[in-house]
Amino acid sequence: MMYGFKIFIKLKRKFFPLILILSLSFSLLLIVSSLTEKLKFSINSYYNTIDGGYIVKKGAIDPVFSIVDSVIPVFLQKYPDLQLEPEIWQVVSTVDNRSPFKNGLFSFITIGGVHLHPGNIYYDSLLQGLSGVQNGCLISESIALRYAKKTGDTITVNNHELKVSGIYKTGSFYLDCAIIMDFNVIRSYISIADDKVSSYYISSDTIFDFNTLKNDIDINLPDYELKNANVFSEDFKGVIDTVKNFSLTILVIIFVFIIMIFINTTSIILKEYESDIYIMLREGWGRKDLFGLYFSILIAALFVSVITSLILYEVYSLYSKLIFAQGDVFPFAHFLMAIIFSIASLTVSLLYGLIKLSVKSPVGQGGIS
Amino acid sequence: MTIHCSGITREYISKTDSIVALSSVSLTIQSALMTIIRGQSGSGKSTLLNICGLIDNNFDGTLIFEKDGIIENFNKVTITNKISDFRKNKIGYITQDFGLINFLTVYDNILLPFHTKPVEKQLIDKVNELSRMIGIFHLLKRYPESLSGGEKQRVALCRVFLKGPDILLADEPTARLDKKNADTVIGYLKELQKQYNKTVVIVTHDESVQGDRVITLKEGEVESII
Ligand SMILES: Nc1ncnc2c1ncn2[C@@H]1O[C@H](COP(=O)(O)OP(=O)(O)OP(=O)(O)O)[C@@H](O)[C@H]1O
Ligand SMILES: [Mg+2]
Repeated sequence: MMYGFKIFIKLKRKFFPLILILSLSFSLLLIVSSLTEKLKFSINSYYNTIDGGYIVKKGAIDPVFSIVDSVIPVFLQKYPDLQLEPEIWQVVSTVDNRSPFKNGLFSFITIGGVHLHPGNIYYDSLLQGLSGVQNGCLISESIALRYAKKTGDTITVNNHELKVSGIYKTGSFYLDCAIIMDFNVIRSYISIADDKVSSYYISSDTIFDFNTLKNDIDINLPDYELKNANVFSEDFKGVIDTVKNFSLTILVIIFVFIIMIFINTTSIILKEYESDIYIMLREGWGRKDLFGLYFSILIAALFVSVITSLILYEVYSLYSKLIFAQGDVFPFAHFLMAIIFSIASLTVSLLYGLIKLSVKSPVGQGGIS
Repeated sequence: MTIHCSGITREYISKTDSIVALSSVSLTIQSALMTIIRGQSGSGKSTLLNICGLIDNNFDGTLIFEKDGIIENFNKVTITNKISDFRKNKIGYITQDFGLINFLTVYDNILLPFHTKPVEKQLIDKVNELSRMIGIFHLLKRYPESLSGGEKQRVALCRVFLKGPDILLADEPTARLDKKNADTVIGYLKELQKQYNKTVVIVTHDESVQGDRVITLKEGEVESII
């Protein structure tokens, strides 16, 4: 093994193409995975796939989703039983005096104020923990994980000290990034006028027909945009799922493609080694000695590629912080996945190729005369 | 060391056809002599040398190495470890393309057979001594890419000398050299054979190369042994 490594060091000039290809594939993987994450993100924000129905006010700070004020009377006229609950949302700029804008899921966090009362279907289960705790707030499981919080801890949000009175599980993208407080408590925090709310949500379980609603309401204000939510049409949910699955399929295809590039490249590089390995075999190297060399190659390639990709990752996240104002959605998990995929395929293809080489007879070119 | 080839047949089988490069060749290469193998192009000389050098074991028949009454048998099914051990310890092979690795210095190329274990001081002294003798001492730090054909051939020779194998096989060692260089190389090979009593086998087209015995192949069969 050691002598294999020795000869590897001497042969290192030969490894440049291998390492280059490796690094390129890594960056490709990183870009692909971040693109898919972005795609998912934009699908979510485009269709507002959050449980519950709402209409988004255009220009509102995402994800402050509001029912357009002028629509409310029309709503109430058409659906007299409609229950609307006001909400107040604010974008969080610091958590524990740190910016939440870091690569990863937490490109934004909002603090939300919602009413606590039994009729509240949407947040019902979330809010049980809030009652009776002063300055209490609920945080999502992801936020709890990220900031290492448990129930009873304090969390400083936008310089306000809050007490974590509960941690909730959610499948919703927005709620995952939310810190929830009592409607009246948050009002005193952000000193907002008494009649001002950020949004309403529909708390009755009425199923709306989005298209008739749109016709009835007859909105032509350029600043407003009606958006569909899955409450309005169950069919629409299917479309969203299809789009999501489709992007996943594309991701898988690209992964497979990259792995094929990997295997192909290693075999090309190994072809270049072929004559050298034959020379070694002819000069009396045994299979054992060759395996020392192989593992040295492998370990060195893995070492260099992990270092390269870590550097790449840092550069990439710095870049995305500078370019995307809200910070980029690019979780470390994706990076890890990319590394594991690449390393696994590299290992397999390299070992396969080398083993295949060493079981052949090392017959070189015969004399040509 | 004496080499006995007994009924050696080598067939190259491809998808479209099969070529019988050697058919049932039986011959003995005498110990401590210089044997020349001649024959037309395509007569199976390289094939025979590859088999004797244990780098091609895909043949029918048996190969026997004999020294001081100790016999080693090789055939199609001999395990690779035995083959590579024997090759490592007993056989030196000079190919027509010199068998140098371009990314290693001349020095490392010479030490290539020994890179699988720690290199001792003694060995390094020997490399220096041998390379002075063969006249390549000043080339040790260079890479093979920058050497002339004659220099490369001498590097390959130096490597074989360092190893000091019982059997030395050379496939057209002079084919890419001019007359002067060719004579030098053959001179060294003769010296090795005489001084250390090694078995030397040379495949060559060069009529001027004289050996103790001459084996002539024709179309995969032995035509004559003189
Ligand atoms: N790898 C191979 N695959 C198929 N056929 C081969 C292979 N190597 C050699 N042959 C065939 O076997 C026969 C003998 O080849 P060999 O190389 O032993 O000839 P040679 O006597 O060394 O010729 P030369 O003087 O040209 O070097 C030739 O007909 C050649 O075409
Ligand atoms: Mg030949």
